[in-house]
Amino acid sequence: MELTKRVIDNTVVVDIAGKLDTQTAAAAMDELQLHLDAAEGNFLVNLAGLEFIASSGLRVILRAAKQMRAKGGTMKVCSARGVVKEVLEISGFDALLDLHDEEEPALKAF
Amino acid sequence: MRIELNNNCDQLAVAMNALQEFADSAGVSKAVAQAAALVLDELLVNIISYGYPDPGRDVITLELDIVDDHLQIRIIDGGIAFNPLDQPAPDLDLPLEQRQPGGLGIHLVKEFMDDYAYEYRDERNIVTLRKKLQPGPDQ
Repeated sequence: MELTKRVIDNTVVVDIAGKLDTQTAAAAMDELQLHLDAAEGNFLVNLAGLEFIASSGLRVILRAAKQMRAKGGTMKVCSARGVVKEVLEISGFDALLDLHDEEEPALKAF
Repeated sequence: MRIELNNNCDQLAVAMNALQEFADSAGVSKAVAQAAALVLDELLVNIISYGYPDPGRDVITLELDIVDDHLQIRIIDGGIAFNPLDQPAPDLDLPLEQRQPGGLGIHLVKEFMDDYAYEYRDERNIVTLRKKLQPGPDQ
């Protein structure tokens, strides 16, 4: 699991790559927390490089979304591929979170 | 392939490596192997976390086989009698604030597998799951 942060205009973009499962979820949450704490308004999680996600990984994304909402910000998720996209859909996350297929439309949607 | 794990958290990595090795040697497609990895992550974590009052005391057996054009995963443990498959489906319509994704794991397991069964025999929980090999062109 690798987590990197970019800033595009006024949006914090966090790329999560690799595997987000029980073995990596705690470390991912710790790292993500730093960016969540620093983020003021728009927060985008880009999953283009994510190869695998389990429910423990879903919990990380859900916690992040709840935190952003609680402090009046907005979180979106983009670029999920393959099995990751499938897991998000089967879990009903497509109705729960603002999911976008690509990063650019997601940025424009804030 | 048959491997024996103890009920410590570090055993998940051992199981995942075994799965990868088996998938490579048996020519299992990436999609099927990923579905199996999801199953192991969800079910083994449940067993290790909740199945035993004392950590590290019992053996969990993981069997991986190709049976009738399916990848078969069998997990046998001697923890508390518990059918992980017999849980109510999570309410996927709840709003964000009320969602508790903890119940999602089993839902995912059922969705990603083609067949699943549970039995309790000789004081062991036996969960058997199957995923069809060579998925259709739309997958």
